[in-house]
Amino acid sequence: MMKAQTDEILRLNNIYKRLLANAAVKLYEGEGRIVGPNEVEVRQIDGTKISYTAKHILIATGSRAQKPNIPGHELAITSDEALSLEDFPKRAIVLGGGYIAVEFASIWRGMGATVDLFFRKELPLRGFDDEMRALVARNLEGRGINLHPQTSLAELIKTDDGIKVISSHGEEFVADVVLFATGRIPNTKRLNLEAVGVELDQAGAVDEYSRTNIPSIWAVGDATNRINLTPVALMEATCFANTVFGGKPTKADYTNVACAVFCIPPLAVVGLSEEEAVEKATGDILVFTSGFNPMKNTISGRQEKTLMKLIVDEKTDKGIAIALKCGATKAQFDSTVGIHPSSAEEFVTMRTVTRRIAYKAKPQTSL
Amino acid sequence: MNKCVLRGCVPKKLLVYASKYTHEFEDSHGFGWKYDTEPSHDWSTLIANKNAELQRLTGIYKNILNNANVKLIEGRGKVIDPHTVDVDGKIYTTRNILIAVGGRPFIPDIPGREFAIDSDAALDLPSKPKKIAIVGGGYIALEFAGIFNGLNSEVHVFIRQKKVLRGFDEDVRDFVGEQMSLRGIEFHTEESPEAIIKAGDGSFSLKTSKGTVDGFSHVMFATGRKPNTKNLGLENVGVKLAKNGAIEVDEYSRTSVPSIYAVGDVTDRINLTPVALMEGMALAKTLFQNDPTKPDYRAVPCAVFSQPPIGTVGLTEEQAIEQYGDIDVFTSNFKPLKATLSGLPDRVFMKLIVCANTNKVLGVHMCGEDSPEIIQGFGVAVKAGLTKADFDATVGVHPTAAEEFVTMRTPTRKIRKESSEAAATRSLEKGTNLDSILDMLDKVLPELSCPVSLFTYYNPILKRGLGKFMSSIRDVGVQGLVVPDVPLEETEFLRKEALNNSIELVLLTTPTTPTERMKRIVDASEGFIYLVSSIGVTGARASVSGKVQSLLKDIKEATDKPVAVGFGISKPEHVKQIAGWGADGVIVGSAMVRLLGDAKSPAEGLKELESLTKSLKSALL
Repeated sequence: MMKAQTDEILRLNNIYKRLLANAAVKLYEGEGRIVGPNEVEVRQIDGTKISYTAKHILIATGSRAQKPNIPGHELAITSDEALSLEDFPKRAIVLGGGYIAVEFASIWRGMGATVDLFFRKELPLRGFDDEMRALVARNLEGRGINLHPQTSLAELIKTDDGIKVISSHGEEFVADVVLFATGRIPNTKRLNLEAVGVELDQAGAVDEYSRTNIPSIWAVGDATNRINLTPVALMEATCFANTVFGGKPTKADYTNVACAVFCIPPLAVVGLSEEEAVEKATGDILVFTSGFNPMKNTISGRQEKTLMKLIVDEKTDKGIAIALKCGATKAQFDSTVGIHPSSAEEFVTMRTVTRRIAYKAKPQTSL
Repeated sequence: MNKCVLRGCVPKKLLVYASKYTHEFEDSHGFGWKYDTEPSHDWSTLIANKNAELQRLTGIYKNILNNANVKLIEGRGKVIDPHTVDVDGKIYTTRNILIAVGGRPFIPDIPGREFAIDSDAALDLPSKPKKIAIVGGGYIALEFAGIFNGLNSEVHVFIRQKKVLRGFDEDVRDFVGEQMSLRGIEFHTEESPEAIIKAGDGSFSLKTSKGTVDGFSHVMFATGRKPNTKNLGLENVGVKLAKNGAIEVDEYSRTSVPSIYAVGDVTDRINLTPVALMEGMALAKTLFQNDPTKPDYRAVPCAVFSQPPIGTVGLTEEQAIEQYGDIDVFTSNFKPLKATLSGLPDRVFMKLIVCANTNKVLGVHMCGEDSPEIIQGFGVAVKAGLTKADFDATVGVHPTAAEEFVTMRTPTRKIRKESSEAAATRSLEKGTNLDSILDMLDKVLPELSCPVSLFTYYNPILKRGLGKFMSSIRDVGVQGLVVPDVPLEETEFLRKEALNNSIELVLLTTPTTPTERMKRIVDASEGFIYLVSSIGVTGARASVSGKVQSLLKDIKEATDKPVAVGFGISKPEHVKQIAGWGADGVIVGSAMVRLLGDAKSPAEGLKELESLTKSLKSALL
């Protein structure tokens, strides 16, 4: 399987190279650094350095995995290595509560590994809707992943039998692979940004048009740490192209960006979580939920629930990717006939409110 | 609603799930999975579990009725009068009567029909069919074909038409037929069933209009459903029925008897469970909430659980062209990520149809894994009247197949009513008429080395008078004539007059022309055969439909006369393709009209026309 995967990745890479070539884009391979507001230097594979001047410089170097400084951290891998392990990890330990951690936990568990997942909070996927996070955790456990909430790792020690791991609660585990998936940071260290005066590492490092504090230098994607999703990078880049070359200054729109976490079973969300909705509310919030064991599971006997949730602003009736983008109302959802039998049809047939959250004016504090 | 849960959607979907595993097992090898033995399937386990689940669901529905204080009376019901119902002899009076008895499968009356099974029986077979003939080209036939094929039966599907799923978008019909064939289902097209014969060994032979196929363990008919209105006493009460037995209702689902209503398949409107649901809810609002509500049939999403499945909402391309004229069509046909490792020939097809004037998305179609779930969400968008710009402003979810729908940047084709009609209107406005054309031809023809044909609607011929028209064009040296708006049956008198004047009448055949008719057309056509290369209104298309290749083959088998392909040809690549497939010539229209129309002057236009024609011609050499 790994060979097939590598072949496919090479094939896709070649396709992308061809796309660039067909668009008359010159591709220079090597290590790049910025040496001036309009100058880039590339150290090529053979060691020689070439300089290029440009009217505009766009930084899109992405992010890299960050490993916490735990004793023995050199024994742990990041997602980079996890995607091309030579041997299947029979026992895996994953540190982290974000999408990368839960996705790898699911992948390895799905292939039969013993998986232990450690994360700092009570539930994985901080930032997502709490009710959904709880179900994801329950489902991960249902599939046999051992969850260790509010637990970190204290030390990793190499042994003959594998990697011995000591948790922050003092428990000991042994694993063939320990994956640190605790976060990614913008990949800007060796770009020589400080010398040029570009500040990319703080929040707000680029403006709404993706321009840095240096007028000729721009940045998009994970390097700017806004919403770190491929299609969002695509959107930021398209807006940049329109602004700089299309004569139409365009700001990227970050509202209602849909996203998915490919744990098993997966999670997909768009718009505000219940917590965010309540926080931003100017009136009552209506919550519609549908929790059920999907048809397929009733035959297979698997006990695994599907949860679907719709959050509506009662005053405006506005409820969610495409629909939310244009302010579609719950009435519009309801007027759409369902496709049967499907799970999706639940979203257009939610008649009864599960709970109403009454609007509470925020208390005025004097501090 | 009883049909759906017990003998429709639910058991069907369970069987679809069961039958998908074979493909998944095949898929899995590329992902590294090995088994010592191939997984085997136990039919009785599946049926038993399926039936247990149906029992459970029926129980749940009974509870729901109970909890809503609905009194459930089981028995055989009949309507006695506008306010009276008889159930197994007991009489009940009521203010309103709602009939929702659904439909039942229809099997045509051919010899041996007693051997045929319908979808009800197919859901409860005692054992798996070894070799099954499924007659029908609709969604039921395709779904069962996929089910039995997935469970390793040998499946043959017999359809009357050229393609499956009449009424669906043409691209989707082509795509699903191809994908199902790749999975091993054998299609017999343009065949009508004539008889079922039982052989000595207990197997069945199916005799059709094209021949006989033997050795079937089962013959299933999925040839349509009829409203279940027999023996309900409706005719006696004065409830009007349509010819096929459907109960006629107004927009509020009221029948011809004021106190009697009907919803669902028995009214034969859109026969889908959620539509019946919508009709029922609208009626409840009308009758009991003092809120007269008409069910809204626009943009009803629907799915076919074939393998691969289909999800669709809104108009087909053909409907969109008819209703909106100018449209932009975006398509994407690709190998999904999953299939790249498995090596299986699975592909996904996705299509957006957009109104060119308002940018509104008129139709969304998809055939591939998960399409039903995906299309449901897009149904909200289409129902809400969203535009392509709205779609494009939505960020994709990556990596998915669905994100294709929000990243389709370049139209695959633009249909503009840049048809002969529009071109004709423009030239008429400039004062062109038959006499001016004849004058021009009189001067120019002697200098041409190639024969000239005229392409005209019937009206100018009628106006001039048939005989006069033919002799006038012959007098200036015209050799051929094409009249696209006169169908084959009515060309007789045209042909006679043309022949009298040594004019060759060229006839057209299209991708939707049934084979029998095509043969009559090629027999009758003089000069050459004009093969229309795409359906719908002409307009320079992005690429020639692959159907042309097979159509050319069919026509070449039917005649030795030369074949020229036209409608939408505009590039040397088109010409090369078509020539490669065996065509004797290509016909270019819109591309030239557009070129001349866009040019800054007639002289410049002619120059550009010259270079276009040269480039097209060189692709032939």
